[in-house]
Amino acid sequence: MLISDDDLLSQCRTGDRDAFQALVEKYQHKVYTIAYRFVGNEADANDLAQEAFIKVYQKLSTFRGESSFLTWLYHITANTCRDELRKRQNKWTVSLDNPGPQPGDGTARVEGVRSTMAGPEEVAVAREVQRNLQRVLNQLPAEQKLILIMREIQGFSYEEIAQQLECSLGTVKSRLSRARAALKDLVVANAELFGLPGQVNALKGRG
Amino acid sequence: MRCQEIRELLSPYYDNMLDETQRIRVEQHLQGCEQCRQELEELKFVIELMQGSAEVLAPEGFSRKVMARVASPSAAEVGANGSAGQGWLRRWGRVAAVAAMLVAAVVIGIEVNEKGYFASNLSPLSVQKADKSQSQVGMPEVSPAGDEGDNPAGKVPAMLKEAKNKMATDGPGGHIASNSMPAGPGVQYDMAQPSVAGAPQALGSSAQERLMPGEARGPMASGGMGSKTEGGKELQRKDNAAVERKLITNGRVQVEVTDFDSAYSGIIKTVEKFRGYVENSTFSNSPQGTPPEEQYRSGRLTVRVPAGQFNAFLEEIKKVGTVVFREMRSQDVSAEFYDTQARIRNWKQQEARLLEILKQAKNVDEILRVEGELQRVRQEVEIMEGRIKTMGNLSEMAALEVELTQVKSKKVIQVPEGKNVFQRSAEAFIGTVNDLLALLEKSVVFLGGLAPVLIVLAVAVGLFLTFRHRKRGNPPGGE
Repeated sequence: MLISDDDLLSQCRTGDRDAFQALVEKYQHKVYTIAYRFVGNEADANDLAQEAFIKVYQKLSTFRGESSFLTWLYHITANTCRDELRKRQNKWTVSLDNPGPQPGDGTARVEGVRSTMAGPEEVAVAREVQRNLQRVLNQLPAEQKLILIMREIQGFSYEEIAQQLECSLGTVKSRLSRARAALKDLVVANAELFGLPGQVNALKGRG
Repeated sequence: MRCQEIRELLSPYYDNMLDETQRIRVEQHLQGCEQCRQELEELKFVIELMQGSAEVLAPEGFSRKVMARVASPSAAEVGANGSAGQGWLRRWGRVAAVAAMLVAAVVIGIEVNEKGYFASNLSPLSVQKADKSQSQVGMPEVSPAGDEGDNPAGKVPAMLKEAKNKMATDGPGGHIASNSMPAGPGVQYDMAQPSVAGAPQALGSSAQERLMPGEARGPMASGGMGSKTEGGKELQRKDNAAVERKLITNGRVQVEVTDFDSAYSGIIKTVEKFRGYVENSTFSNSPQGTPPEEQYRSGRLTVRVPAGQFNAFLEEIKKVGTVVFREMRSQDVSAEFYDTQARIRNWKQQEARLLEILKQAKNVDEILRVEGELQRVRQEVEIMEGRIKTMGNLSEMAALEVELTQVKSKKVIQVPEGKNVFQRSAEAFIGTVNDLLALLEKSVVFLGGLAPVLIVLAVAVGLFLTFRHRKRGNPPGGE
C-alpha cells in the first residue's frame, strides 16, 4: 500500500469515495475476521462488517487522529459487535446440542481461510483447527467472546479494553481470566481436535 | 485452595499485568506446583491458538457492497438487507407504531366524542374521576384500531417537518451564541466546510466541535499540566512570588468587512495602540478585468499583541466587521517553564562547583578535563535559557490570525431574511404545539369518557394473559 492511512483519510474527508474504498479494501479482512469470530456465521459477519464500515464512514469527520486509524476502526467494529450483542442477547445463546450454523460445514469457507502454512496436509489440519476453534468460540457467552476477541485478535491492552467496556481494570482482568479459562476448558475437553501437545494430554489424564 | 487462587492469576500473569508481589507469588508457586505449570501451559496454548487464528477473508465483492451502501445513505440507515438496519427498523418501527396508534386513537376518539356517543352521557364530575386511572390502562386497549391507520392525523408529519426546520436554523445559530459570537443565525453558511457527501449530520457536529476546543482547552491544559510534573509543583511552593501561569495563546478569527481598506488600516492602528506588531500579511485581489461591483478582496494577517490584552484586542477587532468564525487555543507551558528554570539553577550550581575544582587543579591534564566538563555544563545552560526565552516570548505575545474577507453589504441583509425563516418556523412550531395540546386535552377527556369500557376490556385482557401464561407454564420441561 503506497498511500498512507492519513492521506487516504484526508482524501475521504474531501468526499473522495475512491479513497474510502481503498480503506475498505485494505482493512476488510481484519474487520471481517473480528465480526466472523464474533458471530460465527458468514451472513451475520457480513452484515456486521458492513455496518462497521458504514459507521466509520459516517464518523470520518469526528476522527481526529488521536489514535491510529486501525485502533479507531477496531474500536468501532467492537462497538458494532457489542451493540449487536445487546440487541440479540437472547438469540445468540447457542446450545450444545444445536450449535447453530457451522462455519466449516459447507465448502464455501474453505477458500476463505488464509493460512501461512505451505503443505496441503498442513493447510488441511490448520483449517480443521480453525473450524474447531470457531465451534468452541460459538459455545461461549457473547461477553466472553467479545473480551477474547478484543484481547487476543484485536490486541487491545487491558486499559483500552477497560475504556471501551467502561469498566475497571480489575474487572477486565477477572473477566478475561474467566473467559480464557472457559475457552481453555472447552479446548482441553476436545484436546484431540486441536492437536494439543502430547504431554498436555498425558497430564490431563492425571488431573 | 492455594492453587485455585493462583490459577485465577495466571491470565494476568501471562499478560504481565500483575504487580510485583503477586507476580513473585505466582512464580514461586509455579516452581513447586506441576499442576499449575500445566495449567499455565494450557492457557498459553489457548491464547496462542486465538492469537494465531487465521484471518478470515471477507467474501468477494465485500467492498463493493459497502460502497453501494455508502453511496445511498438512506439505504445505510434503513438497512434493506443489513441486520443492524433491521434492528433500527424494529426499534423505530415500534415507536412509530405506538405513536400512530395513539394518534389514531385520539382522532377516532374525538370524532366519536364529538358525535356524542360516550361523553354526552357523563357528567363532568365522573370524567374528572376517571381521568387519571384510565389514561394508563387506555393505551394498549386502543391499539387494534390504530394498527391499520397509517397516519390519520396529517398534522403529525407536518409538525415533524416544522420541528426539523427549526432545528436546522436553530442548531448552528445556537452554538454560535454559546460561543459568545456576535453573529446571528444567518451567517452559518460561512462555517460549512467542504464535506463528505452523504454525512451532513456528522458534519454539523464536527463544525460544532471545531469551535469548542478553543474554549475548553485552556483550563483543561492548565489543570493537566500544572499537576503533571512534580518539579514544577515544588518550585511553585518554593518561590511563591514567581508563580505565574505561562500560557501560549493563539487564535484565529474570520472577519467579514464591507470596506476592506479602512478595515485593514483600522486593524493596523489597533495593533499599534496595543503595542503589538504585524508578523506577516498577505492579500489577494480579484483578477484584472473584473467589473468593479464584483471585485472581491481578501487578506490574512498574523499579529502579535501582549497576551494580557488579548481579549481587549479581540473586542477591538470585532468593531471592524462581522466576526463569522473564531477559534482560540492556549497551551499551558508553566510546568515546563518552571521545570526548565529549576534545571538551569542546578546546572549553574554545578558550574560553580566546577569552577572551584578548576582553581584547585594541579596540572594541565586536570585543567583540561575540568574545562571540558565546564563547557558541557555551559552549553546545557545556554540551550535551556534559549528555551525559557522562547517560551517567555511566546507567552508574552499572543498571536492572532485575522482573515479579512470583503463582502457586499447585501450579504448582511441575508440575516433578517434568515431570521424570518427562523421566526416563521418558530411560530409554526408553537402553533403546532398548541394544536397538539388542544388535541391532547380532547383526548384526555375522551379517554376519561371511555373509562368504563376500558376497565372491562382491561380485565378481560388481563384474564386472558394470565390464563395463557399459566397454560404455557404448566407442562413440565416446556422451556
